[in-house]
Amino acid sequence: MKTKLENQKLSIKRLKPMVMKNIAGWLMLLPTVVFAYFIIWRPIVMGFYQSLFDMQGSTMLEFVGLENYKDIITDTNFTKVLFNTFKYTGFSLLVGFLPPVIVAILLNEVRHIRAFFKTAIYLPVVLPGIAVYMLWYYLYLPGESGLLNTILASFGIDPQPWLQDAGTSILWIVITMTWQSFGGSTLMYLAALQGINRELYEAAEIDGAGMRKRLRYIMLPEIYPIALLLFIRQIIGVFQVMEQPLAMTGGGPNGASTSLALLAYKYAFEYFQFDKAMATGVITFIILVMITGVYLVLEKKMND
Amino acid sequence: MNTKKIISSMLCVAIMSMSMLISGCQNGSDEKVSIVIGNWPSETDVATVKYYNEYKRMMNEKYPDIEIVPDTTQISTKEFAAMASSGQLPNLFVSSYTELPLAAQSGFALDITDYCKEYQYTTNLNPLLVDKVSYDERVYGIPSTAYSLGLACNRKMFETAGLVNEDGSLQYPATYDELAQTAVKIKDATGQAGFSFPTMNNQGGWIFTSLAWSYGVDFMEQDSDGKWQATFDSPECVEALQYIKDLKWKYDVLPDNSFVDVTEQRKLFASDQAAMYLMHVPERMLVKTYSMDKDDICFGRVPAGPEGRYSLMGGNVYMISPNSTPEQVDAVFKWLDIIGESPNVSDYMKENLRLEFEADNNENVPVMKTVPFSIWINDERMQLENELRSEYANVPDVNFSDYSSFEDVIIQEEEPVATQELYSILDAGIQEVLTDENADCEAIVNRMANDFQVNHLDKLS
Repeated sequence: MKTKLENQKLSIKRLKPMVMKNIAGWLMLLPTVVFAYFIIWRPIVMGFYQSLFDMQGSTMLEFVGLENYKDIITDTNFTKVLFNTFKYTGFSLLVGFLPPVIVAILLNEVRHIRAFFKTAIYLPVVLPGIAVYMLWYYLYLPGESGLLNTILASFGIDPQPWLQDAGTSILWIVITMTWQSFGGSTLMYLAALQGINRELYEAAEIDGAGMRKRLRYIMLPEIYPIALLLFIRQIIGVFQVMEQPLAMTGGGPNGASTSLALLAYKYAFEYFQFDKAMATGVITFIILVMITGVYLVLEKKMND
Repeated sequence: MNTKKIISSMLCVAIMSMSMLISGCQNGSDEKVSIVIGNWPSETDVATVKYYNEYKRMMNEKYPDIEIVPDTTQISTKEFAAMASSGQLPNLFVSSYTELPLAAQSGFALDITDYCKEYQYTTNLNPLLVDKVSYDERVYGIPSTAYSLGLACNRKMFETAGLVNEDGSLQYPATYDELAQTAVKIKDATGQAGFSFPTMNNQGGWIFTSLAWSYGVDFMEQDSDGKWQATFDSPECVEALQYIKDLKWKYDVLPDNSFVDVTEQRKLFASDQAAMYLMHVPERMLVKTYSMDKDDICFGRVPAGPEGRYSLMGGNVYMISPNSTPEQVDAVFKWLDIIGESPNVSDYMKENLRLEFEADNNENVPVMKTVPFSIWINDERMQLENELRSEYANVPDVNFSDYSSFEDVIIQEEEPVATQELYSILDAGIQEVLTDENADCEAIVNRMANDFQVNHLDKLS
């Protein structure tokens, strides 16, 4: 015991000069650490911890181990919700991953009024989310009164159910998400493209490289690191989709657009079962860590 | 040097905090009790905020040692849990009856059984409402409004369809089959939906239970071991769900949009895009939010199914935050006495109820001459309300007489356990039959009953 105490004193003694030497640096770091503790680390740890308890409202009653996880996984709708969540991610990669790349390349080639195009493309990003979801909700209204159906009617096409078709509701939501957020990704790709040394283009042109070769040998390799980053961010972001189905379909029809995050929301705010909401959040977290891990390993193997 | 500066700053912060703490303690020593009153009307609701400010003035006059702190947050169901968990609930807040068991079970509402006895609330409360404000035989709420479900009908659309009698009364459908026929007539005459049925936010399930009871559906029962069994996997429930499906695919009388909640229903009704929906009176929002003409709002009894007319009780209930001190709870009850939400009649209450009815009149909100039942049943309180209603009634009796007659309507309590979960499952089933013409009602009912049993009833501790 005495030895332990002495060791502690020794560590503090060694630590003190190190801290005092860089006190300004440590102090500058402090707000970030405090912020990260309260906003990121503590909620994650508390989420794990509380998911192991039976809770009454937000009060922890008794330790139940993995009982909440068992309840969620044995729920007859869990598989469907999990599949829906992967469907969101899959559709978003299919529909939403390439447009920002293409638009950024096109913008990079534009010589005139580029600022206007950049602003126009970025505009949906600054719109309030709920306004965007409501706008698209009304665009997608079924029947003859829906805006998209009105356009279709002028071409003699029958009204479509849009969000109310259980088979495609997720696709329509993903299109809304893509419209809202692709401006941000586009600007990041554009920044990467514009960071390319102009001499490379000039050299390529002298060598007779057309647009296709410039794209293949100059642009794509340059945007590859940012594409990798955005790919993972997109998987992580879309896997946690909640606001869009909540506002546009309520998770319907018949649960066809319910995601894991929306399920957690329903547990917490419709049934007041915070324990199960926490467990659902942890399940989402674990799946995301696994997907990201697998992706990074594969990516490393490919590069090697 | 830097260290000295840091220590000095920390000392300053400590001294300032201490001073604030000390000043806080000094406020406490004045023994002024402060209560936060939730659901306070916002400044945009001029008429209501006017009489709320008058309540506050009277409260200050009668109880100068109580401070009223208005909180304009309108606590919807979805904000409720978040506010409660973070300890931000006002001392007094309003929610719907259907939320009360969940709030009580989660520890988000205070057990006020003893207070209600002490302040004579329990003895004077309409017996029909005792269960509505109780959970596990303890009282957690004080009724604010209480109405049974009826059929809201749009007079203008009924007139267009020629469904108005000579005496001005509407030809209300007596049964659900008649409702479908009436809706068809209205759709043929107006081109708009004859009826709307909610499908979202657990509201579809809530209304469906009432319809299903009238088809003879029992949703659950408790066996001798105390375990709950889902019992709605029955031909009666299939028939009730088939009725909803027929409204869409056979009669084609529902709105095109199948994602409908009560807010959407009100919009459709007030803008003459749907002629009927099941709801409880008085539906003030139709006038206040959507500027509907009060004389076009009519209410009939809930239609009958093969087993009769089954209705459920709706309305709002006051609850008290569990963080409230006994002094604050006492102050809240005094506040309720002042604003007229209590059985204890006083001059203040008389004046305030009058103010409310006057404001409703000024805003053209319907004031019915009679209501099917009163919240408070002591003679003095009932007499006061009846006198004021007679004086301020502003809609023709004929608009609400069928609803108010209350004849042969059976009021049934909400299902006893996992109620919101049941509504959510029913919502999904209703959405399925309204979005898939080929949906198999029997299979859906079978699946819903199984889901409810496995996912919820089997997991009740």
